[in-house]
Amino acid sequence: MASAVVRKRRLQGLLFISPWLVGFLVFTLYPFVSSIYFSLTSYDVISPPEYIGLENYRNMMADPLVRKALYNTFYYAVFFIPLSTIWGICVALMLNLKVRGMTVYRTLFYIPSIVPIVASSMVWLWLLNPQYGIINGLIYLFFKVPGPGWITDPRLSKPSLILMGLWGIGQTALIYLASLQDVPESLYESAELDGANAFQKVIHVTIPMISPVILFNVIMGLIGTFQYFTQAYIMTGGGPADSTLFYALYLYNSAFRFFKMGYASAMAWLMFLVIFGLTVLTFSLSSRWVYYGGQAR
Amino acid sequence: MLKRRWGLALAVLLVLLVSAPTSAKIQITYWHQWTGQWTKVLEDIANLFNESQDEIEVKAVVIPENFRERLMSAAAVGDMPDVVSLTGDGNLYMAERGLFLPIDELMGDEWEAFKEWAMPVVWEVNDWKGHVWALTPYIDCCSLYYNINHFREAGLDPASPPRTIEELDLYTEKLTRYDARGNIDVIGFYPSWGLDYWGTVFGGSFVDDDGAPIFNKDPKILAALEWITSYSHKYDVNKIVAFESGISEERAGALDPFISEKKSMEQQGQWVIINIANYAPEGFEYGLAPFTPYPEGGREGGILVRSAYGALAIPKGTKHPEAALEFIKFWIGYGYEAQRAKIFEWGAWMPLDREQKIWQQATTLEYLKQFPQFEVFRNILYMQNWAVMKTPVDSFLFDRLSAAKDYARLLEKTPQEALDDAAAEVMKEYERVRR
Repeated sequence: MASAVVRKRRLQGLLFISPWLVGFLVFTLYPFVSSIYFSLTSYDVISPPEYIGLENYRNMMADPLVRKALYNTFYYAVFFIPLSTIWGICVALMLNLKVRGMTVYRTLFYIPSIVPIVASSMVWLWLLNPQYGIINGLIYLFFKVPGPGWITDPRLSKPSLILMGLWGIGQTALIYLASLQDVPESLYESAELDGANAFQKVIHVTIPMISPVILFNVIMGLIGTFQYFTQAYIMTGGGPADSTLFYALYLYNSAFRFFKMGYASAMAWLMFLVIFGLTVLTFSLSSRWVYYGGQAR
Repeated sequence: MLKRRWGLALAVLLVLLVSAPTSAKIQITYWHQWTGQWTKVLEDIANLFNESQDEIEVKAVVIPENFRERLMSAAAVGDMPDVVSLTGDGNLYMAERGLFLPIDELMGDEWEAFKEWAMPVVWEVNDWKGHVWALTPYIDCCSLYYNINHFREAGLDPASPPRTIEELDLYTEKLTRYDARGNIDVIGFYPSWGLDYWGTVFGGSFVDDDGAPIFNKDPKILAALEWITSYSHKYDVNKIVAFESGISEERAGALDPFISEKKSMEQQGQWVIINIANYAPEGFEYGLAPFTPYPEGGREGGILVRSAYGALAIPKGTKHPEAALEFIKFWIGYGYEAQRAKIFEWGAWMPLDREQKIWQQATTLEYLKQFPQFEVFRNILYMQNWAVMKTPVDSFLFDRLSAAKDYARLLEKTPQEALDDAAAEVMKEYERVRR
């Protein structure tokens, strides 16, 4: 039986965290739970939901646009996650060098992460513009050939968005940079004594030592790519020819443009299950390549 | 001492409350989506209405983004505005779900007189399932603008703009120019607008009377898409796409590809007259064809009218439906001809009264003296050769039509395949809604 003082402190504690608690219950838990119910209904927001069982899920399986959106999203994830990991580590390694003016370089690489997505999307629209964009201008200047259509070409629209995503790698690189600085110098010294060159040091010392951070970034990247929305919404609207119709974009369209909130809720649950499944898979495979300093392998 | 201070504060508060100006007028709220310079114009319209009223006061509220989401959320919580300008799609779907009040019913005995006064397009486009759910205060007409200097340079007669699709194609070949890199520098013409517009000009129909998709079975829609696709064959799809993407982000104002002289001919609406006056470079000369070129069997002066085009609706749940209706009548000009003439001048929104009385107002006559080009659009308007597209799945339909156009013009599918796939998707959606 808790004493009056303990009860009072408990109450005070609850009161202090109540703003977050209320926010969490109302804006996170309630929508989360109610979306399960809505996914089993025909619901358009403006009229009451009508229970239809698993029909939304069945329709999803037969919807060619869901398949298209899943393909586009997986395509983005399959290329973006490994590339962003490799590029992020490369950038972090470069930013970890001891050269003059490094703080300036670090700032420069981080700046894209703080540019609002809407602004960066508009800038990239022009950079990638086939006729007037600077990228194709440089291609013509150096190679005397016309550049590709980038986001206007269905075959290149997703790679263009991946390229744009890699530009904003600053946040990830910063996390890698922090973890790099945590790698004990003595390990590099030992490797040098054993005759390891710079590349071997990276492969055999740096990568294993930062592998927990790589795991963290891979999982965050996985979640982020499956929720990829804003750039496609602003830059391409899902086109050309549905080539950038990402899953989250189609979900949004279903909910707010096509009056299918119930269907969109079912889509959200499929997305949740896919992300959850892939996260569990990544975790379960991580024991093969992630090294934790405090634990015997 | 403390008590006396409290007493004083209370007394001041009471005086302030009593002396606060209280409005006896009925307050109504009007939601619209016009942003930028247009927000001020809509405020001016609201003020003009307020000046004409003793008992009603309207407040114009701009919803700059996510209008549909805001409207749906407001409907879900029962906190709707009194009047809305429906400039998105999905309006008939919302009407079917009981979101709006039937305006014909609300007008009562006045409805027949109103129908005598207004052109049918005002109500036809939102006449659905036995009632009229919104009224359209204006529609946009299109014609072919052409650059007279470009015509002269290409050896074409500026007094003879193209009238048929064949002539349009021929003129385009003569007017198109390339830069040193082999890119298109100036294009004679390109059908940038959607398949919904060109399908209408070609005389096709997209949906049947119940709103079910039929566009893949209409040879005229197929002909329109084949014609759009012919540009990708004739001018190299990569060059066309590259050129289009260069100008697609800059449609407005000085960067309009016609005004910036990147397109020698462009089918556009009447509002471009004002844009040209404001933004065209010095020495810019243009002409206007009497209507958009069309093929044999097509629709002369064809306009596609969708429920989305600015139609004014009264959401269910408003406490002041009569006041809301009065504002709608004002916007249309019914009983407010002089004021509607001013609105025309402010936004190039052509009035829709049958007898053209608003066109005879002193304000309008003065305006027409300044911009006689409006007469072209007035003629097109009173041809009344519009096609009305009504379906509860218009949001999805337009999305899929846009994709079909992309697939065809990028040569990813044949025009017929693109139409068949889109129609199958839309039909599935239509059947879902009908269930």
